[in-house]
Amino acid sequence: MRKSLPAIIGVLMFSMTFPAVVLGSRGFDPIVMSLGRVVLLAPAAIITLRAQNLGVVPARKDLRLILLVALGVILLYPSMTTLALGSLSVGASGIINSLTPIFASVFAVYVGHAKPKPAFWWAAAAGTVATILFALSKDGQLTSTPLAVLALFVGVVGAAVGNVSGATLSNSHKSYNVISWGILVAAPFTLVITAIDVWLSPAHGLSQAAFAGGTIAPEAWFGFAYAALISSFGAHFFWLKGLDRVGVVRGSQLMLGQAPVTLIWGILLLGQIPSLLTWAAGAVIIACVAWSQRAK
Amino acid sequence: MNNKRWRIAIIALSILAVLGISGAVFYGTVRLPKDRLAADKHACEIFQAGAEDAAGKALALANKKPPVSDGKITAKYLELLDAAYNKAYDTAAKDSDVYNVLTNLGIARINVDASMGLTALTNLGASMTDVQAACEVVNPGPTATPEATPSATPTATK
Repeated sequence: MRKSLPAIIGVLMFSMTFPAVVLGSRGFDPIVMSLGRVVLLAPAAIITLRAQNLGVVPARKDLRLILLVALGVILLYPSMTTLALGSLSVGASGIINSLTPIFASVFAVYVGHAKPKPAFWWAAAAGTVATILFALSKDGQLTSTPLAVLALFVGVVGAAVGNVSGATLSNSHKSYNVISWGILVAAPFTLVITAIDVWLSPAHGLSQAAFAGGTIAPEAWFGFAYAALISSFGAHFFWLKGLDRVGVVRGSQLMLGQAPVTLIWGILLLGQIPSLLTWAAGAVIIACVAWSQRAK
Repeated sequence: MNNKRWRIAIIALSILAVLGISGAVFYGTVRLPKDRLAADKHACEIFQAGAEDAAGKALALANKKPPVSDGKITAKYLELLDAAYNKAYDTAAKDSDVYNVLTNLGIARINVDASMGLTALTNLGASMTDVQAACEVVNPGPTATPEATPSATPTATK
């Protein structure tokens, strides 16, 4: 248990990300909420690296994997999930998001990191089919908001690729250095995109409600701060440290706890009570992911 | 480590990132404002048509012989205005200026009823003017939201 503690803390921190993003989106538009928050993390990343006398630019041999961490975890996952959460419920998003370990395993196979048993493919196929069926249901909202569901899937793919790349680097570097380099590699892009958005968008980076009302609600500040400091930095610190200790397979199993806890946060913070179908779909998909991770 | 596959992953993820993020920025800065403006324009059209119809019908009642009571005229006006209001409110872009002035009109409407007679319509006047002003911004043109109070001096008796 003690060995798993950092990973459990990481999962608990990640579990509140989606509700925090929804709260933050009451004050900020999706680009500021997802990429703008990363701009704020750049100084923290520089301090983390410089405190250990490490360069702010990663070594050339690591650049390829850091680039994938930056693309997947820092750019794609936050932007696409924030966009999706504008239309989808936290519950539905949490359920679809629980496919991340399967996608990560498939990517690990693709790059030659793993050679799973046939049972893995059965479990992965079952989990994916269950998720598609859920997405097609009324609660999954694929038919009513297809772009949002598509964005969420793209975000999940980004997270999966970024996680595998980050875990590969964690063999030779401390996890928080990996995420710090990822943040710094992505920083110029996040800065430019956020500046373009603030300049061009009619509400100048704020949500329509905040722009019209002239104030940003306290819960929006909380959501923004949580998504920036905890989801994009603190949670990665504990999660990757946990992965170092317990390994990717056990870590992926712990990750399964994220979706149910996200549903509970959705009830407590947003009053979004998931339907029976969402709970049932969640149970089936989590079971498939658990099966896939055992069958690796 | 398979270099070629990592390279393909970087290219594929870069393409996804460029498409996804530029799509999000385009949607937020171009498409969404356009959609919201169209929704507000449509809401204004619905509301203006409904308010004109309500004023016209109320005026017709006011000029009717034998005279119709103020309460009945007001009830007819509010009934038609409410129907247009509900459609317009559902159509307007959430948290837009049009949506906000319609919300204020809704609050003002809660505080009046037909039994107040023409005073009810006078009390809605300020909120109706606000709607008119907001609609002129999104839909500049000669059409204007009719005044809450039917312009004809009612000859109706109680």
